[in-house]
Amino acid sequence: MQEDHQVNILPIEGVELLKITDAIKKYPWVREHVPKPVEGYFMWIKETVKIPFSGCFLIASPGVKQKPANLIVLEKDVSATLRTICAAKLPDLAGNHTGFTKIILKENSQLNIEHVHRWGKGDIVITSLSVFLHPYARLKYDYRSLESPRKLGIITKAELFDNASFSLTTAVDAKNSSITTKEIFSLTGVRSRGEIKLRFVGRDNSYVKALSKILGLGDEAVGHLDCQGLLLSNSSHIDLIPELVSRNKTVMLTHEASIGRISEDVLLYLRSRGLTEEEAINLIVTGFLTK
Amino acid sequence: MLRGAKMLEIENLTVKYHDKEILKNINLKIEKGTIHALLGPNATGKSTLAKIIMGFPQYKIVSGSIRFEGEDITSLPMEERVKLGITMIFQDPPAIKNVKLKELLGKISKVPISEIVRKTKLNNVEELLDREVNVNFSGGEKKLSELLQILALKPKFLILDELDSGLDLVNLRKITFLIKDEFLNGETSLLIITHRGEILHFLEPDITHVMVDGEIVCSGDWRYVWKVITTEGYEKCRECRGRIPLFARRSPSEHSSN
Repeated sequence: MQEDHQVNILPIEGVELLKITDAIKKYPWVREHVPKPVEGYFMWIKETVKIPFSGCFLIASPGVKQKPANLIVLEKDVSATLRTICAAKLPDLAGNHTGFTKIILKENSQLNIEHVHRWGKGDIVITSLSVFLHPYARLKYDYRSLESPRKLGIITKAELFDNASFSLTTAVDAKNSSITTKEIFSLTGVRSRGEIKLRFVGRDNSYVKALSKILGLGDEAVGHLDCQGLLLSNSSHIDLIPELVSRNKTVMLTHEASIGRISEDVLLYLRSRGLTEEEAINLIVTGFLTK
Repeated sequence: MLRGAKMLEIENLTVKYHDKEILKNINLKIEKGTIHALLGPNATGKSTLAKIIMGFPQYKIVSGSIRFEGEDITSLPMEERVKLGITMIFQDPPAIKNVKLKELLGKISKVPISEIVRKTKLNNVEELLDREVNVNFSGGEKKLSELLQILALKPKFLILDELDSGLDLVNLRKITFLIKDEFLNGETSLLIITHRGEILHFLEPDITHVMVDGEIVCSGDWRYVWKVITTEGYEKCRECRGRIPLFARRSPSEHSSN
């Protein structure tokens, strides 16, 4: 756990967990993946961890600028589930969180990540994720921004080798917020599989732009993009820009994209069941973001 | 409140939709624990009346009032009316993507979902709970979903808007008898909107009304009303407009003593 710049690490069996600055001293090869880090963590998962474990980045003081750089490495044939929360302790701390995380899954390893953001309304958050999936590695990454900051940028780049698979879900509830996401999946390996699922809700005064690209290179690679937006206010915008690029005739790439609204009939129906309009909208939005 | 006490009172209600008068001078009094039925040709205003009782906001009430248990609810928002105990089963409820039926029931229910399921005594209920509300539901599944919701809400006044549409006779009988078991206890009042006679046979309303061109033109015993409609059609009602008294008209108290 990191609060402002203070790091607390609890030992987990089968996992070597260090401050990234300590990891660079102990393992010089870490620097190849995370150059010049000032803070962050190094997580080397060497054995299967059956119980999900947690990480947390917290902004607790006004005006804090966090710049974590993290490296997660999963050894061959191991599996783990990681739950991480990035949040502001109070809604008006006007913090800045610029994070970089690199994930390397070695052959036949499996990692599930559940990542929740709950930032304050004045925060600025930019996160970059770089993923390398070795043959037969599997990564499932569920990201949810339940309370969005003033500005949120998320960049995800992934390279998938033979038979590797990556399923990314990004769900953002945007209000008084500017959101930009950029996903680039390179399906380099034979029969590699990539899926990007995006869900955006645009409430008042929000702007969402999602640029998603799947690049099909390896034989029989399969990619799917599923982008959906729910626009709840005329003062909001949602731009979904899916891009599929194939460089191999055996590749199969598909996409579905839609931006809609909540129909008046549905709202009235839910109100006829005793829900207020706000409760009805929240029920639908929760379902939209979690399915 | 005792059976026979006023539950719903509509007085001189005239309603417009997009500047067109769609209900004219409606007067309807429904006592506690009684069953009323409303018949009429298509597009005559029956479902509109149901929605106005519920509080759907798209209609403009030009004159008149609606009272529920003595309280004027003419301007009350829909969700507040539900809290008072008014609910309806919809003829064709909308699909709600991404919301499972059990999630909706969890939000609205006054009783545990397991208790609602147990009350239905039907086999396919559990499977329905895990599906998105009304998404790809058959006609029968939609009605079952509606039934689960009204069991969750435990209303005092229940409107059945064409419960019989999309249901075969066996399932109509099952659902009707469930409603009978659950609600016909002298506490709940029912307004049945229908085109078909079977539901009248199953529920035997105390009073049946005929609506033609946005007006209630006749009220009386369901057997007589049904006989007139099936033999002479609504044209007869349109011509007569209640001038010829219906025989065998019964009051709720007479019905209960039968």
